[in-house]
Amino acid sequence: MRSERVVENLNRALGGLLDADPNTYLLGEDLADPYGGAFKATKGLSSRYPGQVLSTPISESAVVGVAGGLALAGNKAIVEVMFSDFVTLAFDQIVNFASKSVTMYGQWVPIRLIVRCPTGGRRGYGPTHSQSLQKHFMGVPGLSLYELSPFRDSLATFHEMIASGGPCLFFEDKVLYTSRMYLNGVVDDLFSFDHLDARGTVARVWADDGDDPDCVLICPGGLVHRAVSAARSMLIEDELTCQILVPAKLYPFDFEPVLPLLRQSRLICVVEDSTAGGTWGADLAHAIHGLLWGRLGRPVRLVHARDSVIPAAAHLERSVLVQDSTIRRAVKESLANA
Amino acid sequence: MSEHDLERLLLIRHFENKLLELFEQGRLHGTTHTCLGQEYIPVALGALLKAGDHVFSNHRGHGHYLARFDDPDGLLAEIMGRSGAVCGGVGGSQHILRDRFLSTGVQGESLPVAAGVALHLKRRSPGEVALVHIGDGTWGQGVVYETLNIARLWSLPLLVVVENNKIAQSTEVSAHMAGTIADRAAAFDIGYHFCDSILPDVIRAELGPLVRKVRETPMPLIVEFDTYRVGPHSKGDDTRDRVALRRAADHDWYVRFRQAMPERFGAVDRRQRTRVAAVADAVAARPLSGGSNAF
Amino acid sequence: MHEVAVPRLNANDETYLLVEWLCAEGQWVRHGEPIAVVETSKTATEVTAERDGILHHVRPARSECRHNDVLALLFPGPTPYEKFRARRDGDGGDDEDGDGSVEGPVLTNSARLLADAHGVSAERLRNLGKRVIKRADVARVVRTAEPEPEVERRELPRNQRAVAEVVSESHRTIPPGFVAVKVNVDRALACAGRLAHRTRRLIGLPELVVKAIGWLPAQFPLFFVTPLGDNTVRPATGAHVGLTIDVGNGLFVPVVREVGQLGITRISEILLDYRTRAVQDRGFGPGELSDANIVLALHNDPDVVLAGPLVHPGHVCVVGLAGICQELALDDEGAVAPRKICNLGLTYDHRLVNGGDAVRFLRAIKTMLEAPEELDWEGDG
Ligand SMILES: Cc1ncc(C[n+]2csc(CCOP(=O)(O)OP(=O)(O)O)c2C)c(N)n1
Repeated sequence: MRSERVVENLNRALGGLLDADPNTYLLGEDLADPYGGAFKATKGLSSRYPGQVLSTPISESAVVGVAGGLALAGNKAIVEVMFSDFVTLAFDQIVNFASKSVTMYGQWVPIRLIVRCPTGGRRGYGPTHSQSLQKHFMGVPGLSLYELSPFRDSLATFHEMIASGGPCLFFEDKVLYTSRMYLNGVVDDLFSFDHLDARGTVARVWADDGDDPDCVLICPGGLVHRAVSAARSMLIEDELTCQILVPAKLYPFDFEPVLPLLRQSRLICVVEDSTAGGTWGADLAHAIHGLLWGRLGRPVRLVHARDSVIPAAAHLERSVLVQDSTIRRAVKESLANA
Repeated sequence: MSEHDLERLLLIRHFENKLLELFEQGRLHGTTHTCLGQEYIPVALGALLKAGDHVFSNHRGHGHYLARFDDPDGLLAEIMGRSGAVCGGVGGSQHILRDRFLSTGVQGESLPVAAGVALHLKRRSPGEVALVHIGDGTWGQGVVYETLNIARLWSLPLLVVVENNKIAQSTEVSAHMAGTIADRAAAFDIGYHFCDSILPDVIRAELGPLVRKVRETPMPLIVEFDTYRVGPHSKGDDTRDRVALRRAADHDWYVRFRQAMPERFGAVDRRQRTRVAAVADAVAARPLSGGSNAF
Repeated sequence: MHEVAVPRLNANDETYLLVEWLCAEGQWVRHGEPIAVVETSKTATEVTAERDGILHHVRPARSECRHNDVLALLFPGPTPYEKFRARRDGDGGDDEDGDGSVEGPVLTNSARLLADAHGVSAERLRNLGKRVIKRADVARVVRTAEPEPEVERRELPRNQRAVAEVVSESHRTIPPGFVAVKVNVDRALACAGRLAHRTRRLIGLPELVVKAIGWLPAQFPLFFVTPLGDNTVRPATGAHVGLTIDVGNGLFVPVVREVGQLGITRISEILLDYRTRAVQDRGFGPGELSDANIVLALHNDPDVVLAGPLVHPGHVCVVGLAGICQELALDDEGAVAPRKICNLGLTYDHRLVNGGDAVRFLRAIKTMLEAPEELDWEGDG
């Protein structure tokens, strides 16, 4: 039996939430059937939960605001922003209302709001439909960032986000949608995966369990395929052992489950699709330097997209976004520098 | 005019005056926006609201709060950062949450939030409304129109109260708004009512049936109050010329009501002045607020 | 594949009892999940999975086990688990299952190169029990490779075994030096021709060199002694020259005794006899192969330019005669003229003689070969 596609899993998770609690709402542009959302994540849901799944006008700010109001009134609200690039239009609602409200009234006010952000490029949608904007939401008190992972049932991640009681952004790599979930510890013929914590928040991908890794790659779900491909070629062609850590929760980052592995590795490399400058990876690197100072053989290496808009033409887009070869080159370069 | 209305009006008036006084004395820190001249709006609306209704307030929200809660101590403590503060001193003048009352300091931000709550009310407790106060200047915000569109499309029990004091901070309405609020409401096919009375009973008589329609249909409604800001935008920052200031002062309910019922007014006025003075002394004597364990 | 071992449960009990399995064979278990109950004399303890995986029971319930025994195996996925089952149940061998998964370990490129170069079998690599095989793993296999069991073994001929013993001992015990000189053999060849014509015997350069060596013990006694160890030697009684003869039937070193007392005719007769016997593979008597105190190694086939043989144990040196070559040289008038030359080498035990001695020894032979007319080749003087 083949595993379900990531988007099917996501759809099932959304359905699960709507089913479990009629006070759960799903709002966004073009969500309703028969269209079922730009990426089909909501297909069938408006038919099954008509009062809870609402197609909205093209009004990102108001829609996230409405969701914030629903959450304020005690509901669970999920918003799909059609392309995460447009989440900038709801920046005020996310940063100044939803995130603030959790604590700014001198009491803990649960805001169970999830803003789903179909993210990333590699589909030729061009500069305003391909970005990875995680970094712009880093360090906002009350706001947590999660990312879709092929290693984790999205329902578990949704439950975790809702249980947090605060607003969350859920970044979903668009290419990941059509790929399959990984099951039973198997990635492919060479790589296996397991989870470093009981809740399954951090997945670890590994091939050669015996030795300390030459490199630990930390990357969000959207980079899993590129990271695995890089790890494969490094193992087969360069005899470099990489393990890959895929956290479902990007921020605030929980280092506890990953520190033992990070301690063993010759190199730690954080890979992300955003451009450099004030990024998730930079934040992680800074924290790791503090936690493991004196143990690290070399600085944490960051891999980003080029400092450029994301072109539409496939060959140009490739030259800007992180590729498996980008990761491999960076790792080899860092390991070559003692 | 009921005794209750007069008491509330004068409580708010003396509360706001007290704030300006405390600022002048350097005993307040940060910012504040008083509602001098506009106190009658929340007082009039208060009688139209039910306990289950939500009120969304803005930067100029002390009157909105005091009309709903007879709690000058808690509000002043919030503003002064003393114990007993409504929100532990975290939110301050512009960010208050108590039961179904919420204020925020970003113009236009609470409008869609109010719409979301209205959606919730429509589903879970039909007959209740979400009321949101905005100023004329806030009509410059795009999210206002996004929200009106949605509120009308989804038939939300959303009552938008526009306190058109004809100025936004320092910018006259003629310089910040093209056309009219009435026409904008019409464009969205949303019910609209213009109200230029300062008499609570008159206002209630005009709005009562309309608000009932908001509850029962449900349907959004925009009510525009023709009103005047008697004090500065914040504190000591009034750049209006003499003529404009004169016009505002002429419209002050305080002057008109005192002239209309000097004796009754005088008694309540003294009582509330004394009360607020005592509140201020008591709150100032309290220890600093401990913040909260939420932040 | 991961092994779940029996933990140490208490210090008193030698053995524990595997009471029951909490998870079924083939079940997917999660990290931290209890999979079995093991009982000591005091308590029952749950054994938990140390990672996610598909469970295989190595031991049956109600069986005894000890600390560190393998209790269970955890496979990362259904494919390796099925493979394991198939192999164990003896219906294995089917490496293809069409879903692109690969049986056995994955080799890195450099591991594959090394394995191919040394012909390391897939079986051998699979037995390492690793999923990924690196170059270092293959190198370890190559280093510790045992001789393949069923190889055909043939013993060397007896004669070559004797050679092997001698050269091994030489190599082990004698620190050699080596030097060679060039000899103009025009006149020696002319002289040998005349002697052959006169005596009707086969006389060539080897015979002349044997005879020349016979003249040397008086002048170079140390080259003919027998080392006895502890920096002592037994003096020589004359020149007993061993000759390396190898005509394709193995190497023999028969001896020409008391060369100093033999004329060139007699020497040529003995050499002819030895060669004939070697060709006919008739063998040599024990006396003929012992008692030499110097050896002349005959590498005088055409095109051999230099010979540096090993010193026989019990000898001080060995003379190596290379082949005759023609070269152009300037004659006394400075004109270019052809001449025949031969290189004469000497390998010597450096503990007894030095390079200078060796050169003087070779020069003495050279002088005799370059002015042969002045010598009485039939006499002993
Ligand atoms: C989005 C935003 N921009 C600017 C401000 C700063 N600001 C606070 S009050 C105000 C004027 C608001 O005018 P209006 O809506 O007419 O309300 P009024 O002050 O007259 O009650 C401004 C510009 C703000 N709080 N929010």
